[in-house]
Amino acid sequence: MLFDTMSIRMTISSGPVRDWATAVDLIRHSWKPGREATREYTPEFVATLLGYPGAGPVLAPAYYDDGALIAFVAGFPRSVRLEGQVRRLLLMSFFTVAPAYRGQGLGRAIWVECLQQAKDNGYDGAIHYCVDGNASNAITVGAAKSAGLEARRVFTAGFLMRSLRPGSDEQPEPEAIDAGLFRSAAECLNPGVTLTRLWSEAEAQWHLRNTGRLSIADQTGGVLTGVVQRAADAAHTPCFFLEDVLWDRLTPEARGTLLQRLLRRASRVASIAVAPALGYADVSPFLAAGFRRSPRLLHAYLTLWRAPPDSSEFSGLYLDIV
Amino acid sequence: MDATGIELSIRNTVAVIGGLPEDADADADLYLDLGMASVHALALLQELEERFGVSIPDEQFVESTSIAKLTATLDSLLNRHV
Repeated sequence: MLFDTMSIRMTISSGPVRDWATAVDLIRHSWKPGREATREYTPEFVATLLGYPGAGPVLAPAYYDDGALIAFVAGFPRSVRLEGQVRRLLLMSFFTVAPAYRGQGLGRAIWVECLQQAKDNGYDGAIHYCVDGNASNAITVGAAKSAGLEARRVFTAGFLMRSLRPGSDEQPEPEAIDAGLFRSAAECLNPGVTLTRLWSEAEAQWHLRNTGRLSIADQTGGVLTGVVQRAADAAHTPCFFLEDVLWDRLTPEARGTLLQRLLRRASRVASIAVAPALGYADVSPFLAAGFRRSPRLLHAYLTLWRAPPDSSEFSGLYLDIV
Repeated sequence: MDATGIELSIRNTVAVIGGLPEDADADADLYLDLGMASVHALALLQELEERFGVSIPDEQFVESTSIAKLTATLDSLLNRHV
C-alpha cells in the first residue's frame, strides 16, 4: 500500500500483528510514562489475552515500514449486557504509533481498519479507553467520525490506591474459585448498571486461571479478583490491579473482611493496590481500608454500528481495563 | 511557612519521589506533561501529608496535578486559620 501524507511519502504495508513480542516492545518504546503508560505489558500477559475462549480470529491490524512494525491496535471479544440488550463488543486496546511516524494519519487509518474488521466479524460495536488528557481521545473519536460512526464518551473512571505493607516472602497459594460462583456473583450486579460483562463458563474458567491472577471468594457469594503486574515506572513497582469487585450480595461487614483477606494475600507480591472506580460496585470498603483517590482518569468510549445507547453517560461499567 | 517555602519543599518531594528535576515547570502537569508515574501519586500524597503535618483531602489532591496547584492547595490548608 502506498501511504500518502502531506509531509512524507513512504511505502507502508498493512497486515495483522505477526509478532507480539515486537508489539510489546513497540509499546514500551512508544508510550510516554504518565501520559500513556501505567502498566508494564509483557508478551506473556498479551498471550493470555490472545487465548480468550472463542476469540476467533485475532483482530490486530498493523502497519509495517520495510518489515518493521510501526503502528497497531488490537481488539478482544467481550459479551456484555448493554441497557438490557446482549451485545458483542470488541474491546480495543494497545493503540500504538511509533513516535517517528506520528502526525501522518497512521493512527486514524489503523483505528478505522480495526473498526471495519470488527464490523466484518459480526461485532455490534467497539469500546475503548483513553487516559484523560491524552491525544488518543481526539484521534480515536475523529477516526470513528471519519468512518461515519460516533465514538461516544460514556463513562469516566477514577482509581483508588493504597500502599501494601510487605507480607511474608512466601508466594500466596492460588485460591481455586469455582467458575459457577464467580458467574453467579457477576450476574447479581445492580441491574441499574448500564453495561455489564457477561461470562460463559469457558470464559470464567479462563479468567480465573490466568497467570498472575489473585482471587478470593466468600462462600456466601462475593468474589474479588485482580492481577499482579509491574507499573511502567523506573522501579517497575509491583502492583496489584483489582478487576472484578463482585460483592453486591455481601453485607458491608463481609465486604470489608473479604477485601482485607485479599489485600493480605496481595501484600506478599505487590507494594501498591489499585482499584478502578467504575460505578458498578460499592467502593466504600476501599475507602474504609485506607484507599485514596488517584489523579488519573480514564475515559470509556462506545462505538456502535447501529443505534447508539440511550444514555449519554453510563451509571456504571462492569468491564475489564486492558 | 510561606508559599515560596511550600513550593521549594514540594519541588524537593516531587524530585525524590517522581524522579523529576527540581526546576520543573511549576504549571506543567506532573503526570501528563512531566511523565511522573501515576502509581507515585500515592507516595507523593503520603509524603506531603507527613512533611507538612496536614491531611490533604483526596478531592483537593486529585485536582492538584502541578507544582503550582499543589503549592496553592497546601498554602490554603496550612494557612487557612492565620
